[in-house]
Amino acid sequence: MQRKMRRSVAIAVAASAVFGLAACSGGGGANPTSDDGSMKGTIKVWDLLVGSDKNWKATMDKVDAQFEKDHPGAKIDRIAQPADPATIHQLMQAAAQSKSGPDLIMIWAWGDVLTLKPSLVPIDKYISKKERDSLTGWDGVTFGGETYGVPIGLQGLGISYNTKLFQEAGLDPDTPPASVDDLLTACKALNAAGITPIGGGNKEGYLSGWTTSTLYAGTATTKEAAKQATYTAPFTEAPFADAAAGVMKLVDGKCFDKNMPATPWYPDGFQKFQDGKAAMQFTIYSQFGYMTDPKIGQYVKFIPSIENTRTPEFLPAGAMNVWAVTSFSQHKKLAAELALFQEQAKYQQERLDTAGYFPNNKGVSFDDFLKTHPGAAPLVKMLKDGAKTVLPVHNMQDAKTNDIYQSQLELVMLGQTSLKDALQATEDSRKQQYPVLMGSQ
Amino acid sequence: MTALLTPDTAVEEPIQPHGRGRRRRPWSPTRWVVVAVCAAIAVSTIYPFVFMAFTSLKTSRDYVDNKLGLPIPPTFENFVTALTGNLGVSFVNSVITVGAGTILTVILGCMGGFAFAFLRFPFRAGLLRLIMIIMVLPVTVLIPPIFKVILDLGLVNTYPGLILLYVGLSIPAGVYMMATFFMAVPKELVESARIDGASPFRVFFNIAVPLARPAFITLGTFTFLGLWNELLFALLIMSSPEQRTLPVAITLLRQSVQNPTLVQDAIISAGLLMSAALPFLLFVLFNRQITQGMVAGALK
Amino acid sequence: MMGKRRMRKYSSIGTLALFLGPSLLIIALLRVWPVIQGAFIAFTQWDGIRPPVFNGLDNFTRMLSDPVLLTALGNTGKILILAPVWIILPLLLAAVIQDRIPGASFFKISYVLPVLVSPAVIGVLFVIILGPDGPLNIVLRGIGLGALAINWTVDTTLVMWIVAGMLIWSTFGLGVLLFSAGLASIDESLYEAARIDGANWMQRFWYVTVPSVRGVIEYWTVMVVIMAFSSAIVLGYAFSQGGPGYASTTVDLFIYNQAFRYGAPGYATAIGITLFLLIGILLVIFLRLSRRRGELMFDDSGTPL
Repeated sequence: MQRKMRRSVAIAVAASAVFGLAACSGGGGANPTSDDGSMKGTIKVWDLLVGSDKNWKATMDKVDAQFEKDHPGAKIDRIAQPADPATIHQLMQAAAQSKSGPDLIMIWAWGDVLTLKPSLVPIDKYISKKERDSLTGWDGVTFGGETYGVPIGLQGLGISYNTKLFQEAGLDPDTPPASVDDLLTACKALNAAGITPIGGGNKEGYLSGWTTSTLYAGTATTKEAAKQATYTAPFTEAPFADAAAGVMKLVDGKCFDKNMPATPWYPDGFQKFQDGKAAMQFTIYSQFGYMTDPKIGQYVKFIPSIENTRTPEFLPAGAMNVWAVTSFSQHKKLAAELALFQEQAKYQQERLDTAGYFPNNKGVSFDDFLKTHPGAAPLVKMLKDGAKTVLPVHNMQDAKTNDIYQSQLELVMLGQTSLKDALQATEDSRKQQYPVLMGSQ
Repeated sequence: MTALLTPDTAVEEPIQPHGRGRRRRPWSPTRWVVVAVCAAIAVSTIYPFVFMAFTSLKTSRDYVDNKLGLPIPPTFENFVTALTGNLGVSFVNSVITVGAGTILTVILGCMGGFAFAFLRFPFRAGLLRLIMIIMVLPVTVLIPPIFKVILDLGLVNTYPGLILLYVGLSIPAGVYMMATFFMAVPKELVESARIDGASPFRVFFNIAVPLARPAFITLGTFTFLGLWNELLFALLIMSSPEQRTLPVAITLLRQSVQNPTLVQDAIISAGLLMSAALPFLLFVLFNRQITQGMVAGALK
Repeated sequence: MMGKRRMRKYSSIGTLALFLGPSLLIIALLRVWPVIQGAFIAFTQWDGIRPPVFNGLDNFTRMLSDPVLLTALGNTGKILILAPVWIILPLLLAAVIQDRIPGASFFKISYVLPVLVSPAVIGVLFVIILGPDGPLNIVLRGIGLGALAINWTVDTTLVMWIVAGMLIWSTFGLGVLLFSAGLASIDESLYEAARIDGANWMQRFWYVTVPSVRGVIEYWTVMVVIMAFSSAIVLGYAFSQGGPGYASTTVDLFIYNQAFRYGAPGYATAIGITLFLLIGILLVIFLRLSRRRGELMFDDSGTPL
């Protein structure tokens, strides 16, 4: 009995070893197929907004209905997923390992695309010239000359300010600060009038990301920004270091509440501005809802760019999210068509008008939007005039480096480390993560 | 009552809970301090629940203005929003998957624990230690392989698939707890049955199972609580909206970071409150069983 | 006649298959098999998406020289330092509730309520309470202890202890429940004997109560160790996001980040499996030692079933 037992155990162990190796190598053998796939069947879509935003869902329901009508035999299964990058990565890891899962996924530009690239397929051949010209933001999805996704909407950074509070502090509400120096002057005046100059909380490190990106657009040339997008520009040198220095200038110039490092960004950090107690706030384009707020709405205006060391050459804005087609999809062509279909002007128009999602489709009109959000006029004008957009620099970092940058800057603001050391730590991480991110092990 | 507790009673009486019913002396100051401390702790542990309740009754605007205060006036709009967001169906799904998972874990755990305590087989001690080590190993990093197992069995997006996974998550702890429990039972109970030549089944059903009732409740409680709020595997396995469980539905209420102006805490609290209602209710109901204690000490 | 009956050494296969089979099968399928696969992954450089690439002991050498991992271990260590409190406090409270004061059910349910409240909510709640102008600081300033009214949530020396405290506070109710069930079965006559010998409450606690629930204490200790290494993640993240810097990043958060945010599940698996094998082995040794008085885990006298 004993001997038989021992033998069975030995066999079991050997079998596991064999299976284990098979599993490992099995995962390694297959290459993503790049065939078009079937034009009929069910497309599974992972949508991060349909579960929580009724307006988005309403538009997408129309999209699905129309697409199914235009493509008989095709059905769309739109699955709501939580908008958390780590969760999406877990789900994608499981899907990639088992080579089965969604056909089309909504992810974030640049970092996510690079990380998930082995599980995505290039879709250049499915994009017509007309479609490509109608949308902006392709820089966040194009690597090695191949396009891995369709950019969704426009998301960018700037400063919202309250004209009433400006007046109270003796500042001219019609000539808002246009440079860091202007900001410092404004902060002095606002502090003298007892008003918090810039609202915000950096407990989660949000502020340092947003502020850096806004100032980066006023520090780097478009060429330098393009180099940044290849992730080869060191963080310890200009222009990034200068942008970070600009952030610290604002901190040292008492532009923020003294409790800012310990205040959570949301909702506390926002609250001051929303209550009309802070004069300025770093905001993103999807937050123009402030302009319809009953308390402060009529006073809110937007500053799309700030000069730090040079006149800004581009806006810190890029794709809000991207649609990407997976390599294990059985309906690649169909999924790509759906992605482009969803970003047509008429649907982006609806999303803008009902839910404030900024469009990246050039065929969308801002007329209705500006009626209810007059404060956004400067931004709209710049976009209409063809201003260049480059993905905000804090979105052009891998997750680890981004975390390190944010937490290091937190420590700088708490006085526990120097900016130089913080930037060095960030740079060290970039060097370490570069091969991992760019896939060149 | 006091008479039962004198040492020379040879009658088989159920053991009274420790010390109850003997209070006749007035309370000493120490007693008051102790009560005060326990009460203070109780207040602190009740508060989050209260906070959650208050938050769920406020509009988002009210909440941001006044995070810790009373909801005046209270509003039920969050509950309405949450319910229309599929929460009713998710609730049922959670009950099905977590309930079945718990019941199966208790049954299989009981059988397995019984085997370790009363049956004999090779590697018994080593196997139990192995199960303990498995209990301690986290599953976080093992998500892709576990998912693949369910996938290969063809059980993705099915109730049995998630239930099987839940059992898999809880059963090492279940077997270990029941084994520990059964091994602590006085040997005399089983000996008499053994000598009588009873079959294992007879011993199991007539002796072990009745004995283990409080352990069932404890194990069931722990397992249920551990699984009720389980998010990640539920998200992974169930992708159809009508099959998703409660924690998943609540997470999806949260809007993306893209629009932080919208404070979701109020709606999430409403969802979480409804989610916590069931375990809470079960606690109140089963607390009687836990307090009653067991009758294992039939032999003194 | 007695001598003629042959004593079977083991129980019958059929019985074993029925009682033990299903559990072992499920454990093998869903816990052991994935670990074996995980063990292979630990020796690879893997980003979760591309095929894994064998890299020998690289992950393990990296573990030894990773300063952030060291900090994370130290943070989890802080939780472990408080483990004795985590283990004994529920027992103490259970004994007190059982014996000295009325309203046991009320207290038990109250203490277990935080377990029902999602850890994320608890984290958010404490951010509010411990905020720079939150209720705690307001009270401190009000009673003249304004100097103590620091920024609790971003104090690098304190933040981990606060997280550890929150963790214990939000889970001790389970221990109380567990111990209550155990205490209910203690023989009253033991207490009588102790009382007759002149023992006061504290002495009765240590010499009667604690030894009697030794099995439960062992089980709860295992649970505490598991929780110390795996449940800080949601709570800690909601409270301080692992910061400032890495001041409140625990080992489980570190592993999670490596696996799902930094594209290094190979490394994460290596850490995870090493660490938990160590814990598992330590626990086994602990349990072996705690049965010191030569008593056997299994009693195989008498006829087998």
